[in-house]
Amino acid sequence: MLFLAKIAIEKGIAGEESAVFVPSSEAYSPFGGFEGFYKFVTTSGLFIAHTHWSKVVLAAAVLLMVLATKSTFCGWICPFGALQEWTGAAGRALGLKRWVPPMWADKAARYFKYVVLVWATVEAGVAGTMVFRDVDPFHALAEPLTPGFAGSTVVLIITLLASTVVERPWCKYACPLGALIGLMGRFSLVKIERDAASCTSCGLCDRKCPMQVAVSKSYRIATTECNNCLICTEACPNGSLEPRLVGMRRQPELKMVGIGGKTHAA
Amino acid sequence: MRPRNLIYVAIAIALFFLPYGIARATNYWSTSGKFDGKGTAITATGRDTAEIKGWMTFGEISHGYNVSLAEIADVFKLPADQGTPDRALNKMESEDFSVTKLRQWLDERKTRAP
Repeated sequence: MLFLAKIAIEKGIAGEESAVFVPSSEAYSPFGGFEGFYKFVTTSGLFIAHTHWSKVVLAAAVLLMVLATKSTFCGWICPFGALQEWTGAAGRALGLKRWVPPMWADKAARYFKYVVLVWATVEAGVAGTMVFRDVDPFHALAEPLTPGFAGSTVVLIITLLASTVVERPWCKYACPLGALIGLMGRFSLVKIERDAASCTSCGLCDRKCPMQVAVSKSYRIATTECNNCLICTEACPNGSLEPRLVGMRRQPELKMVGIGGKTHAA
Repeated sequence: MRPRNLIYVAIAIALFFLPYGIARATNYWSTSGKFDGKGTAITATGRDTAEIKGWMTFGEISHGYNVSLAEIADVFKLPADQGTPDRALNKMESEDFSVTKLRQWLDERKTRAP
């Protein structure tokens, strides 16, 4: 968040026509690296508009992080996730009641982020244009009031308003990077595991989880919805939940979709 | 925070910054399409029209793709005084002209060439 604030201030001071080069917030978007990857490979290293080496490097960084530690990027680095947490806290402080959508609606809506992922990557691959940048709230956040960011500003405002009553709505329903990280995270070397012997099934982890993953029903949190914030591990009074190297402990694995406080065998 | 979680998060963050450090050390860190990691200005080479960006000038395109400014101005109906060599392509976007249309035309021109 501090980094984004730095970009916003620098951009604001320097202005668009300044002779001093200030990198755009787009230069720090890992998703842009994934979006432009197909064209980058098929054109022998050419970038589509608004893509630079920094995006490719950050995409590689996210990939490395995901393969080792699952969706830790979402839970610990993404500034937009942090902002949603803060607006959620502000909503609670204002006395706004948290709203959990009906389970069927929540489950269906979570597929929308995969639609966004396919749309953005296919358009970038086929047409060579980064369509997602027009609605990406990350840019409006880092460079507020920038001309041409009207779409992303609208998405940003809607997301922030929604996050005052709904837990992390962008992460759950619309973030294409989160969708990609979730899918890649299936292959992660480290996942949160539950020690069934010490677990009392009190359900505190389920109630604390901001993504509504049914943690207490699973031995290993393999769901694409977990953002590895580790709140469940901190909340567990018995220390039954810990990030562990996959394969270090022999336990049956339940593949969980785990949405809305109920479990579904995948 | 529990020590195990702390170590886990520290490792994750270190892994995130590792490619950044490598990219900086090997001059692959560039936050602009206008410069490469060493700070060298990027320009149109004529290799592939996908390299053409809105900030490139008509002069760069003319030089890189071996096409005269007059021909570009004629094809895209650009006002004679505006298709100057140092003018950026994105400053001339109109119904008749865009970077995409320029790319398409250059591609067609290349295939037509003997």
